[in-house]
Amino acid sequence: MKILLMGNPNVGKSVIFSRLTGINVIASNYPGTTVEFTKGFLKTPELTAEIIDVPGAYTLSPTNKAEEVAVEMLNAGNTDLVINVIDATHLERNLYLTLSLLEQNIPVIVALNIWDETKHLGIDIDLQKLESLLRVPLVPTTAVTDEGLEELISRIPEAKSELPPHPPRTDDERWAEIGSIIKQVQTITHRHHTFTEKLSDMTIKPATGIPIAILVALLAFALIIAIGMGLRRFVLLPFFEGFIFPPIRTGVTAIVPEGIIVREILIGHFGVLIDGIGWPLALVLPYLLAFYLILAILEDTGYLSRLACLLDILFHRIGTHGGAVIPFLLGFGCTVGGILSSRALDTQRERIIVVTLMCMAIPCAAQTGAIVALLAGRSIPALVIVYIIAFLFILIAGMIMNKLLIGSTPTFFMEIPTYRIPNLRAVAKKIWMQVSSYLFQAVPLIVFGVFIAAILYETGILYHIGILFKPIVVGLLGLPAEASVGLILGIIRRELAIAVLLNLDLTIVQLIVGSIVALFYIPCAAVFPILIKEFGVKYAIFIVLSTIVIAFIMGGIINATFALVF
Amino acid sequence: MDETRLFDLSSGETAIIKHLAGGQRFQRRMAALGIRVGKTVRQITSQPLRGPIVIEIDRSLIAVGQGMAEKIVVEAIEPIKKIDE
Ligand SMILES: Nc1nc2c(ncn2[C@@H]2O[C@H](COP(=O)(O)OP(=O)(O)O)[C@@H](O)[C@H]2O)c(=O)[nH]1
Repeated sequence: MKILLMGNPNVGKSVIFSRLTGINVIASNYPGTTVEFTKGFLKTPELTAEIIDVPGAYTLSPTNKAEEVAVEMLNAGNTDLVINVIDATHLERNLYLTLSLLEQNIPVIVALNIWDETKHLGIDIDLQKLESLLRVPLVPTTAVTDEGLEELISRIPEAKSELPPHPPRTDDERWAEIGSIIKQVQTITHRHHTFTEKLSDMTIKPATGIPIAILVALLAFALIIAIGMGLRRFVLLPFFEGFIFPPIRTGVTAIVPEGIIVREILIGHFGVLIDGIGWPLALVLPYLLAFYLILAILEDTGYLSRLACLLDILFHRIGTHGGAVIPFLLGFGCTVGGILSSRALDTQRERIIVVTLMCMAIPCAAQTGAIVALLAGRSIPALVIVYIIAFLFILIAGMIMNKLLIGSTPTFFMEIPTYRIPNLRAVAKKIWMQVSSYLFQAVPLIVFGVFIAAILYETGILYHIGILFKPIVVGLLGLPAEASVGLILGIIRRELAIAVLLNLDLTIVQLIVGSIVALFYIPCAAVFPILIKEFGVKYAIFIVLSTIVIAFIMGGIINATFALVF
Repeated sequence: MDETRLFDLSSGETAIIKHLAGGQRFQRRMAALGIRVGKTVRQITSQPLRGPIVIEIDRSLIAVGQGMAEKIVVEAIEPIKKIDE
């Protein structure tokens, strides 16, 4: 049996999907598109079914790529049943898709989701009446607490009963029908303004909203750094220094005799068993955790949409719109994640601008962790300077691209959801998804990077590379020759270019220059397969060359400026 | 006759949507978020420097960029006194 889960975006489809299917889900791209969908299985004593979480759609007459995919899936022919998820707090506009689905020759069952919120919003829906008007089973559900989901599953067989499909209607006929249904089933009682509405007003009106946004941004940044530093200093470092590294050191010392290169590779200057574990797990992981926690809270409360609206004008200057705030912020977590989420942008031109900026000047959480570890202990102003330079670069480079690239900027248009208390389970799940992809995909790369560094260092190759790069690293950037190893490792992972500097003894100016060069330098190796897949080889080569050139130019300028001033 | 557009409304003003000046695709995009002819909208705020306009329609907040707000023709209605305030 094959079941499609369909509904408008943001109605709780994914939550219902994960509740129905459990853990065995597969996410894939719809053939020939960048639209992603997930597939899983529902098993009960009565039935086994494949369930597909179809991309959110408002209509069956596609207005975007996601809707095209939704319609193609529906028309694929082998669908036994559609579970139509609708948002009870926006019944009227959700019914448009419901009526369109009922005009197809496919059994439908309706999940009237977000049922929990109707009461305090003063919305009263006559369920029996609505069910009899739609002539298909209708179940009120609250996906986040599992309410109604059992009944939904138990009534699936009812939807199979053959119904005469409604004859297709025109748009006007549909809206007229919806108007009549709403009149019969929905009553809205007047209620007083709630606190969340006042908060909503305050955060969206520019006079109060802009100062609040600045405060929120500063607070978020401070919290990420505080949580990250706290975890590192008080939990992870003591743990690794206390319980993990000493036995490793003793063990290796006992087994591998002195003077053998293997010993140095394992526990020496770039020891794979020391730095290879310590960098990814005690240096980067705490910041990654902190970042995704704060981002999930901002997103799930509904604040990000308001930020998108406030920042729209700024984003317009760089050729995109407020909607780009989400891929942008995700880019501060992981460049790969940011590139993937940029698919949601309307045009290829916007994607190119956003992704180029991300590859050049947006530090990922791993790199932020490394930069903070490098700078915060020495000089907070230095840390601030690095971020201000990155911010100015993003603004200026974005404006230049907006001028150079042909095409126009699409208009901002989106719903601003009511404020909600984030669902703990949903937040935890989101964080786990991000962190697990880091642990299983990025960490092996970091270990590999440290391994390469150890070999280069212990064999003396690094010394020769240092001589090769000396004119640039020492002459132009004013860094010690040893820092050139960062330029090799930086190809593998963004934060490795910085981590190398941790082992050196640098002045404040050198720290700033090193951070800036590493920040603008080539994004990590995991980025390139995706760049090639999504934008082609030429673009990927452009990114490699431009990031190297820009990194050296920016580093050179800063080094020269400080040399002049001090 | 001069038409009032969505972006002509000031904060707190209420209006009825008269006409959506765009093709079917545009109409559908608007309808997806509940913006249809005959609906009542309330302007909540507009962002400075010709930024997006935020409106309330059927108890949802929607941000509409200038390009789109120009295509939404409305007729302002007299503000009704609220009983509870
Ligand atoms: N209050 C409430 N929130 C819900 C319910 N179902 C989903 N949500 C929230 O609605 C938001 C959108 O859900 P999601 O599943 O991502 O929507 P989708 O776009 O339809 O897949 C999330 O923040 C959910 O936590 C519900 O029944 N009640």
